[in-house]
Amino acid sequence: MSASAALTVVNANGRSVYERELGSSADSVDTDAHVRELIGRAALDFADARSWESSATYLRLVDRFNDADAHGYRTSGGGRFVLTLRGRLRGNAGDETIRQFFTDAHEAYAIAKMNPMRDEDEDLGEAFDRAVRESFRRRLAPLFPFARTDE
Amino acid sequence: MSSPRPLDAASRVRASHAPVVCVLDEREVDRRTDGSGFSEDASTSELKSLVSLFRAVSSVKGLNETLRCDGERASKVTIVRELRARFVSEDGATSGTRADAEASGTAACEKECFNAQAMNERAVMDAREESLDDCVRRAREEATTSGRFNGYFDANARALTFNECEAFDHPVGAILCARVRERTAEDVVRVFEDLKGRFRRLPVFGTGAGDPEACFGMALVWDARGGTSRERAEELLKNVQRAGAPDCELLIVNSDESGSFASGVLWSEHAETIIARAAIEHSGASASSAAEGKYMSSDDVERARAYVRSFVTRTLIPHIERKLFALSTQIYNTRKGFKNQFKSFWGRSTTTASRPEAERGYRSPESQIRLAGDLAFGIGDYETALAHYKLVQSDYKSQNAWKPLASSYEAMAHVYLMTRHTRNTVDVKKDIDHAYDSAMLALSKYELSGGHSDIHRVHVEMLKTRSAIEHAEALQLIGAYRDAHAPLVVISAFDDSELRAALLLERAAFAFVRCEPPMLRKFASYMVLAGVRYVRAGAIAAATRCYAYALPATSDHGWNAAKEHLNTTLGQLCARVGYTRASLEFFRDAVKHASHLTDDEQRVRLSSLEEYAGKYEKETPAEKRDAMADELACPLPGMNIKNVHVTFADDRESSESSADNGEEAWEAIERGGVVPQNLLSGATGANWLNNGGRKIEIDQTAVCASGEDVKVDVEFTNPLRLPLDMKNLRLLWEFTPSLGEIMTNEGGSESIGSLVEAKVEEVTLAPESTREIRLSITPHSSGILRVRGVAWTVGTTGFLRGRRHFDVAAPRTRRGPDGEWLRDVPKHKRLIFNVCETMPRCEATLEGVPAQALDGELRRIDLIISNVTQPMAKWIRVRLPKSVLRPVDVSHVPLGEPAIHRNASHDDFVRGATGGGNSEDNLLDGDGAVYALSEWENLGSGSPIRWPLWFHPRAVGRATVRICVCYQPEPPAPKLLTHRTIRIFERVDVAPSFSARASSMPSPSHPLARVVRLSLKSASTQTKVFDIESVRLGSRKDGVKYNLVPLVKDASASRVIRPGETIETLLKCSPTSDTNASELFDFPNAILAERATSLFAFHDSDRGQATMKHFAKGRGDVITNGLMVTWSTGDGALVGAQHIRDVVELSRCADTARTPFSQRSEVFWTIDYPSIIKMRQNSSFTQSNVVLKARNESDEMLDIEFVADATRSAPANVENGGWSLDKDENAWQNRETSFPSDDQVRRRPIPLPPGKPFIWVGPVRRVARNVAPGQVFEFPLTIACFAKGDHILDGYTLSWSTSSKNLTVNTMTASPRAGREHSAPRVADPADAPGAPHVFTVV
Repeated sequence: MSASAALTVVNANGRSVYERELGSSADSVDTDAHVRELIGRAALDFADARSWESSATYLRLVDRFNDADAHGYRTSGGGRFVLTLRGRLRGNAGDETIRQFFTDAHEAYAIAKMNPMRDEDEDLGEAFDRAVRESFRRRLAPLFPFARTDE
Repeated sequence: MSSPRPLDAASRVRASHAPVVCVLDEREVDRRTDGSGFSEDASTSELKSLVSLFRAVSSVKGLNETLRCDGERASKVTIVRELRARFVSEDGATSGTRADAEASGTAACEKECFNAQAMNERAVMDAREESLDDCVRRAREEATTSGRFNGYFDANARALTFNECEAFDHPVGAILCARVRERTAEDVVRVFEDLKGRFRRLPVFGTGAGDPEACFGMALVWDARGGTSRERAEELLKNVQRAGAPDCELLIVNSDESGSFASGVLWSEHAETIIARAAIEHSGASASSAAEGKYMSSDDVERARAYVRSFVTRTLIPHIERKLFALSTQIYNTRKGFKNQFKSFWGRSTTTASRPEAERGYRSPESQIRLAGDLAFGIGDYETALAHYKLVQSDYKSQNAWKPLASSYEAMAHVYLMTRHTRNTVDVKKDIDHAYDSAMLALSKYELSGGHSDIHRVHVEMLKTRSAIEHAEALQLIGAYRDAHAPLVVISAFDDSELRAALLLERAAFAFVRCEPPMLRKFASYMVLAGVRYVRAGAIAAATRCYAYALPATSDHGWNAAKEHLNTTLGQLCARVGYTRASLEFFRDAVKHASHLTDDEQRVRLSSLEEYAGKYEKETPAEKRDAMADELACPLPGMNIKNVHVTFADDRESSESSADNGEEAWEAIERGGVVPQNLLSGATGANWLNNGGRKIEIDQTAVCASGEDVKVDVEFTNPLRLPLDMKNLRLLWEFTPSLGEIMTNEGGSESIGSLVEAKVEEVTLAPESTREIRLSITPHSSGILRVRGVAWTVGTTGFLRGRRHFDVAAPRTRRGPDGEWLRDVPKHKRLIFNVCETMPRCEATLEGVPAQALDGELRRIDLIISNVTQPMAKWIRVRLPKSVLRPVDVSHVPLGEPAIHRNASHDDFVRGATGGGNSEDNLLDGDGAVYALSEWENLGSGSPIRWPLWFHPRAVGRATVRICVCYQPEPPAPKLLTHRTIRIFERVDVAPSFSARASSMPSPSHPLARVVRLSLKSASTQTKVFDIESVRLGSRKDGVKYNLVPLVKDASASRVIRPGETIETLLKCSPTSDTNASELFDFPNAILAERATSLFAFHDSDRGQATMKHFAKGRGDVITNGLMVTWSTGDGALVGAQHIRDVVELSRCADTARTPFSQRSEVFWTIDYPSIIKMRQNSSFTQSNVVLKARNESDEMLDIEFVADATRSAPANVENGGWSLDKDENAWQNRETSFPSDDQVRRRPIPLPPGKPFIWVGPVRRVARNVAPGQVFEFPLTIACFAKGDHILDGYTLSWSTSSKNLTVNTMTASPRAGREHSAPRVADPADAPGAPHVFTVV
């Protein structure tokens, strides 16, 4: 079964500051970038709604689109992460693993935000990208039939 | 006329559950049987069916009927205050097929979805700039008013009515209508009987599903235009009432002979929907015409209303009451109560096999329960209806009757919906969700149970669609918009009808926009999905509308892929419709966000843009196009409109970085003296008060000269993965000549012979690159030139014309005349130019400046100034940094005009006074020396000035060279450009050569003689060999001259410093009476005197200000200039000099002979002490003897006193000249002591605070009286050492006084100047000893 994963990060102003595909399986059909963006965007609305219902930062599964699951995370500063996963998990440890991945991403996000040389709405940069991909490779890639993680 | 607003879900449910009354008209029967229809006139103007008449008056209000329907509880009453009957015709009481529904639905949304011509191109294009709020407002309005969704899916629901499951669709009564003709009453009664028979043969009764026991009303219809008279009709009515139809009433139609629409009823709104094709053909129904029913009068309508009211109250409600009573009685008898439940539990098996549908007729208990529920629902008794629905579900479940089960669940949901106001919303939603989910589950089971036939599958899908739509609408009605999309999305994937899926997805999207706050991103994503399905269905108008709705939601930052996709699709859709302009706009926006695409895709996007730009240009006449509006503008490449850099013809390129504060440095240099003060703009007033109010300059301008290029650096970015060819790249300008009209090249035409010439460039931008391109513009006349932007063309066809206007970013720090904030634009960003008349322009270069040099190197370079224009340049002034540059010609001296100090006013300058102090540090350009040679007064074209200079860097690191050349035009000069400057900036990396240090000591041969020790160390990275050529003393004010004699073994040998070596050289400086002494010692092969002189000039000019100040303060008139050591490299290629500034002893002791007697010390002393003291073993201290030798240098007898400090000694007994000791048996007893003491008792000093490494012990106060002049007195002293290490013998004072009767103790303080006062006390401290510090080591 094909699988792919993409992370979208939106800052407190609602600006997209990071949007990348983190990995995909060999048989994965190359999803159009606009579809990925639209799924990520659409899930943001549900993530926003969910964040009013929950005090937790990890919002769990917030949206579904066909075979794509969108998991949400909201930082205390208003930043929102949406991890879009296509494909089935190998095992049942997915929720906790995704939460850990989000925690890593949150840490990298906080570091990137502290950079005084970076504008508020600027892309999060290579260091964040590296940290996220490393966390993805360590935590989530083993659970999915990914053939490649875009490093 | 606008279409009516669709009913909400509750109204639709209430309407659908109204009791059905069938209208059987004799005329329609005749039309069916013999084919007689309307005449041509009648077909368009007469009321087509009596059903329309009854439907117009179907609602009966103001009732107060009390019904007793409960057979078990007679006291329970139901009050009916309003009842709406659902009138259907014989043809209308039929179901339809999927094809019927599809055809009818498509026709209903034809206009809104498929009629592309109804689209407005401007409205579509406006979506590009629509705000989110406007988008939400528009979407919400459309969600509530649009009829396409209801029109399409009402057809689906209509096709499913009159089925066997839903009893509320089965007619409970009929109105039999006979026409007034020339016949007897018996014939009429017979007609009624025939119509009854037809009623009972309706399909819903024919299948056995409907209960044929119905109530009947009879009406005699008199058509006023039918040919018979009213009297005849009334007579016939009486006869009919007597003949067996006593409740028959007379209905009148078409009594308005004028045909003036007197009834005021829009009959088309009340037309019955007939879904089945066959029924449509039977009834001959066609589209309603506008003239239908125009002969109907108000009286006709009122009479019909009265008849319907009479029928409902006298016939229908009693019938329903009787029916309900009978059914409830039966249900109580058979299904309710303890006995029946017990029987149900034991007697009736709940696992009975499913009963065939044919056996589940209206007589079956389940059908009767369902009928009872539907009838109760119809009269508003929802509680009873719900109980019946729940009751019947167990039966249906046990019989696997999935379709009726699903229907009963839906009916339950209807009840929940109607009673929503009596419960809280959460519970209502929960119940509704459960009911509809159960219904969907039952329908899924029904689908599985019915085999794989397409007819069955399609039927089930229709049922599911209806259920899902009802579910979504129910959720929306209770405000659960967020969840309302789910049922719609699920069923959108069921069948292969793209239009149906598109409508469902669009409806789901509208559900999101009705949330609070609106979920716009979700709305946009579902709109895109709907748009895709609309495109597949060929509904271009609807697809365009959907994509246009999604566009504003992606307007925020990022989301490039989504924006590109939306714009591309919209461009393609508009192209299909034929909107070239809109296509062009969308394709242009798509290209703007195409950076994420592959290069092939980007090429396609660019081609599309180019194609439609060409098409638009061809289709639209040039006079209709607005060239200024950038209709054909290409968004690529990106241009940074906020940042420009203007370079004038007289500006020099420099590699200065912002870290150098280059602009500030140049401004200080230009104001520091190189530009004559009367030419500086700030010289008009003494200060800002005298200068008056500063004129507000709204448009900050720059100045340039006619005929000279102005270069503007612009930054372009190519985000694509393709190289981008830019042609016809030029600046856009607007020029206002001094005399003449405004001219511009904005319109695209560059007139030949124009007063301004913008150079045209062709540039290729590399893929994904940013490049700064220099564009130039040349004004040929005086006036005001405004550079407005940049224009270019992209591609081969030239249709894509890019154009951007500058909007230079600058802080708004100034107030305008009206209080508005104005930009403070830096000079290099100003794009408005005052163009002056022709000015001379000079160029200046430095020749021979090395990129790298050695520290102390001397190199000759040339400054070349040339006039590149025809007019003569006058009064050339050059500013040199005197620390590193000096003219070769020593006769060239800098100007002697007053230097400009910081914070000085112009008045100060005029008066010759300086503000802020006299120090050189306070100079505005402290390192500058301005030269204005007489031969530089005129510089004509073609006669360059070559000025030789010495370059001599004297510090390791990066030496910056800033040379400023100022010149003026021939008078009279233009007001705005009185002078010009040339800035030359060079940077030289200075590497270390060798370091030089020197120290000196007095020589015994002469009081002024000194021995100088030179230490020369090659730099660690140096590979060159240096020959020391000479050593020279710095010049001094006084007239004492010195001879320099080397104190080395072989003075004639050359002194060489090899890499890594350090050499030392001793030189004796002896005073000489020769006033022309050179104070110089040349080693063999000395460098040329000319160069040595130049180097010495550098040495002499830089007096080491900090050092000089220090010594000037401390020593008064003693001034030193250190030493200069000249050198050459081993190969002789380079020569240079190292300057040693601070040779301490050379300065301090330079001239003791000339020191006034009063300032000299009267006592010199030294201390004899062991340099190393060994700590005794097994002891915490050791003692050592020292001798202080004091010599009376004065001419008088002195009393000299040694006193150890209280904190650095044992306490002293002053009276006995010793120190008081306490006997202590426990300490110090076993220790040997060698200090001289007459006491035999061991004594110990009182313990001191910790931390003192040694103390003075024994007699710590000693006085030597009457010491003769020149006598040396020795003080025997003892120290006790407690800690190992290097220590300084201090902690005492030496004071002296003259030996007279009236002794006055003078003290010499640490300050040499104060200490030399006669009246001051003379107390010396250890640091004043000539040999101090006296260091000893304890080991």
